[in-house]
Amino acid sequence: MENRFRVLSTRPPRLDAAAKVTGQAVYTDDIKLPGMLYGALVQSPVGHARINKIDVTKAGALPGVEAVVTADDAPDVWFGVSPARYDEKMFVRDKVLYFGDEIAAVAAVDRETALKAAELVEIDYEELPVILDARKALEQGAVQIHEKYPGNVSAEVSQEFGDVEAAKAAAQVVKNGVMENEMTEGAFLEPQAVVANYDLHGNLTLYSSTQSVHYVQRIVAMVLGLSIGKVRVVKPYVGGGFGPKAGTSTLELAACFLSMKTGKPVKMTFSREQVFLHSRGRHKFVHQMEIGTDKEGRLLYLDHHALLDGGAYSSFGIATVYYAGSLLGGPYKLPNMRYHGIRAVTNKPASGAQRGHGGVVARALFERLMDELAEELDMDPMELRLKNMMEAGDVTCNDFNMSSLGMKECIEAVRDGSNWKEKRGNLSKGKGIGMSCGFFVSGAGYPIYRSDTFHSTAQIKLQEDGGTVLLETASAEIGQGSDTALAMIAAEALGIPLDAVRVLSGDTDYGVDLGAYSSRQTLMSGHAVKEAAESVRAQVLDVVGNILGIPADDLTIEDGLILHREGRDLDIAGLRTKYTKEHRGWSDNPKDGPLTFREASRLAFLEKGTIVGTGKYKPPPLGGKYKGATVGTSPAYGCSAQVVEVSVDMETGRVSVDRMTDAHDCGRAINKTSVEGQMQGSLSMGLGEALLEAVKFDEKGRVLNANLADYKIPTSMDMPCVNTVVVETNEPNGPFGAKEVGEGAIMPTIPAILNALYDAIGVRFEKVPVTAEEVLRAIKGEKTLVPKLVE
Amino acid sequence: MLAANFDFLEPETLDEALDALFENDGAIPIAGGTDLIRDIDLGKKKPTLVVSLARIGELQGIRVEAGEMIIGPLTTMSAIAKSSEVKTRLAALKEAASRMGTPQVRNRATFGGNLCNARPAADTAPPAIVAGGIMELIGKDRSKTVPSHKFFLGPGKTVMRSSDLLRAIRFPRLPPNTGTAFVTMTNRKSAEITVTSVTARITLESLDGKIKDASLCLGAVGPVPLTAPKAVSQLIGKSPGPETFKKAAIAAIEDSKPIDDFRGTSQFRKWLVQSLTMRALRSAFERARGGEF
Amino acid sequence: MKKLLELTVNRVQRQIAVEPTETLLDVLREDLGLTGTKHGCGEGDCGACTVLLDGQPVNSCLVLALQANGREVTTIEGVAADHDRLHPVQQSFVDLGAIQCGFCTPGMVISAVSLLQSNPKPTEEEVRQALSGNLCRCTGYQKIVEAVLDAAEKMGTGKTGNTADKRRA
Repeated sequence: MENRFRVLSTRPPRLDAAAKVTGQAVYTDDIKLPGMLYGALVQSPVGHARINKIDVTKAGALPGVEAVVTADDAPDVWFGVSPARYDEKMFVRDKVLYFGDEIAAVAAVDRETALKAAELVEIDYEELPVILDARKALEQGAVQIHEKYPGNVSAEVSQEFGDVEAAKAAAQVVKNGVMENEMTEGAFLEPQAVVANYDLHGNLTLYSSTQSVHYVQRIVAMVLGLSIGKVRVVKPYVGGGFGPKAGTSTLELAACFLSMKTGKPVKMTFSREQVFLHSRGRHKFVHQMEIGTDKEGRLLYLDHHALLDGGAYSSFGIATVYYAGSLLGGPYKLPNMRYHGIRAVTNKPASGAQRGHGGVVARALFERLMDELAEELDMDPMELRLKNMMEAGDVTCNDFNMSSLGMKECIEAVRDGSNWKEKRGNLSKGKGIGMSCGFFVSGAGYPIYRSDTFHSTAQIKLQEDGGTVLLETASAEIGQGSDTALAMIAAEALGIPLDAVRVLSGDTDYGVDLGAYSSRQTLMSGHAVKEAAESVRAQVLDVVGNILGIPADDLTIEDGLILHREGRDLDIAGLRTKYTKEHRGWSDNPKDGPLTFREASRLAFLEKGTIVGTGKYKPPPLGGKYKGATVGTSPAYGCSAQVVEVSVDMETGRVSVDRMTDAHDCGRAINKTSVEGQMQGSLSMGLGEALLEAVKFDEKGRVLNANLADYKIPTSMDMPCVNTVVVETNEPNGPFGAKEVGEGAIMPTIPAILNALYDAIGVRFEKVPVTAEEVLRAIKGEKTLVPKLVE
Repeated sequence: MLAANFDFLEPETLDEALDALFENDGAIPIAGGTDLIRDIDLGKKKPTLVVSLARIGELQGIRVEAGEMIIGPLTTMSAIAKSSEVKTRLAALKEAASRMGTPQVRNRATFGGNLCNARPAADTAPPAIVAGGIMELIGKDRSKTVPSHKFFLGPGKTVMRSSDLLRAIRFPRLPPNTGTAFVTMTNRKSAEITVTSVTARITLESLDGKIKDASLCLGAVGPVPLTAPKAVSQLIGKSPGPETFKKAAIAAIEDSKPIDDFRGTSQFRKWLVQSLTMRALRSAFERARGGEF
Repeated sequence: MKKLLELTVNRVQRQIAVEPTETLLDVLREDLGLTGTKHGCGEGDCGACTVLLDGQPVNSCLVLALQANGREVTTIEGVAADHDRLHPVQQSFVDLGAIQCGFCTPGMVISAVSLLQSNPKPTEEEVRQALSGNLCRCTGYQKIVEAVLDAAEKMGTGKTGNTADKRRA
C-alpha cells in the first residue's frame, strides 16, 4: 500500500531511545528529593489470620524512624479499581487475607532503618484456615475470607446470546474440553516504585511507576480526603507494566500518607519478592467449553463455564470475569453463546489485568477446540477458520462491532510466511506446526468507574519562538511507544516534521487520560492529539490566510512549510521580513522558499498570543443493553493470526519453539517498528505462559518462586526469531485509521503452541504451562489430572 | 545495601585469611559471592565478617604439574569454560561451567564456591567427582586432602569446618581412552538451576575395546551429588553401546533419590536420570573413542 | 563501619567511604548517582544491573562494593568513548527499535558491548547466548539481537565513525 502520509507508517527511532540507551532516562527509583525519607511496608507473613494486636512501640523508638502508621492512623476508606468492588483499605485492621497483605508502614532516614523498623512492628496473629484453590473456596462451609463476599464469590456472570439449547439440538459436530492455567505475573523488569511529596502548600505530588496517572490521582485524593486539584500524579519512565501497574496500590497510598505525616518526601520501592506478593497479574482460570457446528463446520454455538481464582481482592477482576466470556464473541461468526463465570476469593495475592486481559486462556481453549473440529471435519484448520470468519462491519452476538477486520489477510500472511501448506502433516515425529487466531479491544469502551468523562484530552501549544510544538497529554508511555506514536500523529496532523514535536506526558497536570491499559493509547489519546493538532493547524493557517488575504482553507502545511493547496505561489516577502527583523543576529533565519511553519507560528503568536489547540476523545455509546454489556466493547478491534513450529525433545520433554510467524492487523500502523515490537513482545509473553510460567505456593500461601530465576520468563535463548507481518487496514473509528497491537498479538500464541504440540506428539494439553515435565508425562502415557470446574 | 551487619576483610595471603576465619566466629569467606550475597540478602546467612579471597594469588588459576591439573578454587566458571587445559583434560567440567547460571554469574562464580556451597544442584561437583578430583583443604592448624566424592555431606554441608578453606582441586591425569560428559536438564534454556544432571566417565580397554572403568554422578536427585554404583556395575567389563548404556541408565534410576519440589517431581527426575544417563554415556563414549577427555 | 573504596568508574578514579554491606550497585546508584544501572531484582537473576568489572560483564547487585576495590568499572554512562556520541551498539539499538521500556537496555548494551569486544563477528546464536543473562519482558529479544548483529557488522566494516550526535539520535 502506498504511504500517503509523511510521518505515519514510517520507522523513526523512539523519542526516548537516546535517553534510554545511555542510562539517562529517569525512572521513579532514580529520583532523589532533598530531605527524602525511605518507607517500608509491614506485610503479613501468614496466609490468613486474625490480628489480635499490633504494637509499633519498638519500631517507633528506633533512631531514624520518623513515622509508623497502621490502620488506626490511616483513613478508613475502601478503595480498589472498580467502585462496585472497592474492597481494599490502605492497611488491614483485623484480618490479613494473604501472605503479603499490608498491615503498616514506616518512614525513616534511610532504607535500612525503615526495613529494620518494619521488622520491629510486633503483630500477634491467630491463624485461620488458608484456602488456595478457587474450587475449595466455593464449597459449602468454606470459611469466608473477605467480609464483603459471602460464599467467597467476588463476582458472578451469566449471559446468553441467541438460543444455545436450540443450537445444540441442531448441531452435527460437537467438541468440548477444559483448560486450566496457573497464575502468572507481569514480570516487568522494573519493580514498582513511588516517591510522594506533600508540600507546605498542601499539594501532594506522587511520582509513581504507574500505567494510569488519572486513576491513581482519583484514588489517592479519595482515600486521603484531598481535593483532586491538589493531587498531582507524575509517571516518570516506567519499566514495563503489562496490566499489573494499572491499579492503585497501598505502596502509593502509604507513601503519600507518610509524606503527609512527616512533611517530607518519601520514597518506597518494592523488592522483587514484593512484586510477586502484590501480583495483580493474570488470574488462574479453569474454562470448560462446548462448541458445535453444522456438518460443513459452520459454528452454531458456544457453551462456556469459567472459574477464576481471584485471590484476596478484586483488583480488575470484575472486568476480568466478563472479558473471559465476552472476548469469544468474535472473530468468528458465532450466533449463539452462553457464558457462566464465577470469580472466587482465595488467600492469595489478588489477580488483576494482564496483557490480553481475561481472554488469553479462554482463547487458548477455544482455538484448541477449533483445531479439534478441523481434524474431525478433515479440514485444514485455516480453512475452518476462514469459513467462519467475520467480515469488517459484522457485529458479534454480544454486540461488538468489527468495524475493520483484516483477519483473512492475517491468516493468508501467516500461511504463506510459514510455508504452512508444505509443512503441515509433513513434519517428523516430535516436530509440529500449529496455528491460531485472536483479537482484542482497542481501548475499553467505558472507563473503569462509571462516568461521562472524556477518556483522553490533549493540548498542543505552539512555542512562542516558533517551529516547535509542545504536546501535553496525561497518557502513559510505559515502553510501548505511546509518546512516539502520539508525536507522530501530532506531526502528521499538523504537517510538520516529527522532531518539531516535543512530548510532555504521564502527568495529571496535562489533563485527563485513562492511561495505558486495554490497548487504548494510540486510538483514544491519538484521537485527542489529532484534534488538538488540527486546531493548532487551523489557527496558524487562519492567521496566515488573514495576513495574505487568502481563505485559510486554501492553505496547507506540509513538511513544515505553508503552501497553497493548488500549488500557487504565495507572496510571503512581507511576512519573512517581519520575522527576520524579530530575529536579528540569528544565523538560521529562513531565506528562500516557502513560508516555514516556524515563521508562521511566530506570526500567529504575534497576532493572537499563545496558540493552544485542545483535543478530547470519548467513544460513542457502544454495545448492547444486557448486564455487563460494556465489558469488551471498543471503538475498534485489532486481530491477529499466528503459526508456531515446535520441536519436542522426546527424552526430556523439553519443548523448543523453533519458528513463529505472526500477522497482526493494527489498522494504520503509526510506527511500524513499534508495532513489530509489540507483536514480538506479546509472543514472548505468550510463549512464557504456554511453556514456562507459573506462580507456585506452599500450603500456607507463601509464593515459593518469588524471583526471576524460579519464575521463568523466556530468555533470549528461548525465543525464536519471529517472522513479523504487519497487516494494515483502515479502521474507520481510529485516528488516521489506527487501532491496537499491544494485546491482540498475545491472544493466538498459547493455542498456536498447543496446536503445534498436538501435531508434534498427538497430545491435547489441558493445562498450561506445558512444562517439560507435563510433556514427558504425556509421552510416557501417564494420565494427568483433568482440570475440573468443581472439586 | 544488604539488610545485614558485617565487616569486610580482603587479605593478601592465605595465612591472613585463615587467621581471620579462625579468630572470628561468624566469619565467612567470599569468593565470587554470587551465592553468598544472595543468601545474605535473603537472610539465610548472617556473617559478622566477610573474608574476601580474591587477592590471594595461590588460590587462582589453572595449572598442570606432574601430569595433574590443579585448579585454584577462585577460578571462575568463565575461566574454566575458556580453559584449553580443562577442555582437553576434563570436557565434562567445561560443559558444566559453560552453562551454569548466566554469563554474568559465570564471570563471578568460582569453582571453589560452587563446590563449597554444596548445593545438590551444583553443576561442577559431578564432573569433579567422576574425574576423581582431590580436594586440598587447609585450616589454621591442619591441612588434608579429601576425595571429592567424600567431600559432600548434605545440602550446604561439606567435611570442611567453618574456618577451613579449599586450597586447590587436583585432578590426576585420566587414563588413556577415557571420555567424560556432563548433561543437564533445565526448563528454560538459560539462567536456570539444574533440574537433573548426569555426568559420566568411561574408560575403554582400547579404542574399540570393552569398558574398563566407568563412573557416573547424578546431580540434583539427592542431598548430595550421587555416585551410581548400580549403574556403573552395568558398565564395567561390558561392550560399550546402546544396549549396555540402556541397562546402566535404567539402573541409574535406582541409584537416584530425588524428592518432589516445585522445580520438578521425583518421577520427572527419575525419567530424566534415565534419559540423561544415556546421553552422558553416549557422549563420554564418543569422546573416549575420539581421544578427547 | 565505613571503609574507603577506591575504584575507577568510567575511566575516572573515585574514592568513596562505603559500608561493607553495600553492593557495587548501591555505590553506583546511590553514592555516585549513576542511575543508568538498574535494580531489577537484587538477586542476579535479571541482568538489569550489569556493568563491566575489569572488562567482564557482572551483576553489580552480586558484587560487594569492597570487592571492587582497586578495580575498573564501566557502566552504561561510560560505554561511549565520547560523551556526546553513542557507542555503535547504542546507535544500533536506537536505529533498529531494540528499546521499549528501557529498563533492561543499559544491561543489555553492556553485555552486547562486551560480546563484541571478545567476538567481533558473532553468530545470532552467540548473540543470544551472550544476552541470556539479561531478561527483557518487552521486546521478545528479536530487535535486540538484530541490533547487536547490526552493530557488529558496522563495527567490522568501520561504518561507525559517524554515529549521530546522541541528542539527535
